[in-house]
Amino acid sequence: MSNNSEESMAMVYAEKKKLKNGHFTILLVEDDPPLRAILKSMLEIQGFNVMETDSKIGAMAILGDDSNTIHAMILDLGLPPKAHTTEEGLDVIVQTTSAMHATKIVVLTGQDEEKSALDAIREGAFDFLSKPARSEDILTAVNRAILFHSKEKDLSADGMTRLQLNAKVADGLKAVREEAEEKLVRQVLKETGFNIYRSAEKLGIKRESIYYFMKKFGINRDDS
Amino acid sequence: MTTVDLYPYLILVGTSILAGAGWLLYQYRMQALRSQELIRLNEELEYDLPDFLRQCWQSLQKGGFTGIKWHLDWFGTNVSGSNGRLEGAVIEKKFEVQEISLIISLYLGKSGWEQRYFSNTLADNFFLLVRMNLWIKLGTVKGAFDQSARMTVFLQHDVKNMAQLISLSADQLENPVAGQEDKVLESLRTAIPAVRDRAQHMLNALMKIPDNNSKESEQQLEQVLQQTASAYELPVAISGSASVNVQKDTLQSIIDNLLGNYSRQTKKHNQPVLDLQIDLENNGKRVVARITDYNGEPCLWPERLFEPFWSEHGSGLGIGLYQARQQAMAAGGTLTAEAMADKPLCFILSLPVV
Repeated sequence: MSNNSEESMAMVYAEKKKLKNGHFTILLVEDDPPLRAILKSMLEIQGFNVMETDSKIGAMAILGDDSNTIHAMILDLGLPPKAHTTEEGLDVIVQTTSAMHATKIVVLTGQDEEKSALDAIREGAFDFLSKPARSEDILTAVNRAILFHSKEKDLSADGMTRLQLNAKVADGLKAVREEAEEKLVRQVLKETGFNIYRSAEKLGIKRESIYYFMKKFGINRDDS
Repeated sequence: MTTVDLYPYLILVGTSILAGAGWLLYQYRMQALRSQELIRLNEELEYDLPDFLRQCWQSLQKGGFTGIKWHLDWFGTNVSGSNGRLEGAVIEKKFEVQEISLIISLYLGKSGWEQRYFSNTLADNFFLLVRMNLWIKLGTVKGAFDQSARMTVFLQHDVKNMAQLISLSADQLENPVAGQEDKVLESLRTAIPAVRDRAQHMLNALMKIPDNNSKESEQQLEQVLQQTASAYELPVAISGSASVNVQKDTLQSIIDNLLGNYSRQTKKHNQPVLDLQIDLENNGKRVVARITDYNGEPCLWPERLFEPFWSEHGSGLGIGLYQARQQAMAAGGTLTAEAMADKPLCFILSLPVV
């Protein structure tokens, strides 16, 4: 095992100790039952809680229930009903990031490597592994994802929010600023359970401004 | 001199004209036969250009040519051939397409103008056959490469999953976690037979052997339709209810391919604009499902619907509907489309009842 992965593992073990139940939860999204079974077994042997599903709908249902307790997701991009394309898997990434779920996504896929990796990372995946990947590499990626998840939670507690923006230079600063504003407002509203007063306080702006942004970006309470 | 005196001359001229016309007609007929001979030879040789060049001489010789010489660069290999006397007037033609180039010289010797005229006609037909063989070869090569590339996409998915299964199994055996041996053994009990079955399944698919593990069984058609539509997030109204006698995987694949088209349409419009209606009817022998999107537009290319490797948007593999039709037929059913100029497209799937 490389030094990096050893360090990464050590930090995750340290994080694990901080948690009361001592467990991290991984959501496994893979449509191949035997492969899902062996991945689940490998992760459980390493002490992770594993939730599993074979489709986009299943993944979004599990995340929707309680995404805060799911630290990382191992995602196959080729999911039914379009198992031979990356469409469903990329949709999972898009929906997860637009719903501001904190879960970190590690893509593990057999689809065309270069294009899939680019698409996945652009949509907000945390890491990309190409099948067949070694257990060690999968665990390293998962551990890093968990580490980032935990650190982002710490930062969030300190009032910091991490945003992912895909900006085109040609669109100019205004477009980037608007996207950042929208994501930040959505994120804070989600974190405060749509409490306008607390969101305004957290963002350091007036409540009226929150209402203004909600109207401007079409943010509804249901979006949370 | 009276008119009567001219009769012998007129008869002579008329007879000469008739004889000339008859001879020309005969020549024309003979050249047509030579052309047909060349076409038949080409068919017998299955449009193979090198073989055609090697065996065409006999027909060309009968057509009045005194010699032939050719030089062929066939995908990097150079071959040449010649027959007869290479002298006199010559018709030369050069072909150059992608990885094939060919120079042919046909010799006419010392022939009269009328012989040259007919020989030129035969030469045109001969060159046309050569050009056709060139394009058939290139089309076949391109088609085979395209098909191979597309099938690779399907195989890669299965092979990579199998490689992943083997890799994880090997890792668990190489680096066992103390106290977890039972769990490792348990997971290998799932993985190893799965690898075996997967390998056999792929081998069967490559060798086109039917999968004996799957047997026809009773399937609730409306249930499969509803579940697949849900997976694609398609709003659908299903009327009727029916059980069909088809392999589970086959039915799922047919319905996946059929509804997959509507899913792409929904994505293209970025919102569900479908008014998808599926009517099921059981006539005692068969279940007929009529699938129509009443918000859909008439199909502009009905002849392309079931053509393999043809995709409307260019991004698809283009085998979905082709595969669905093949599977429906293999299951004892049919898959057709009703395309009218002023009505939305309707797919009609017919499957045997239980």
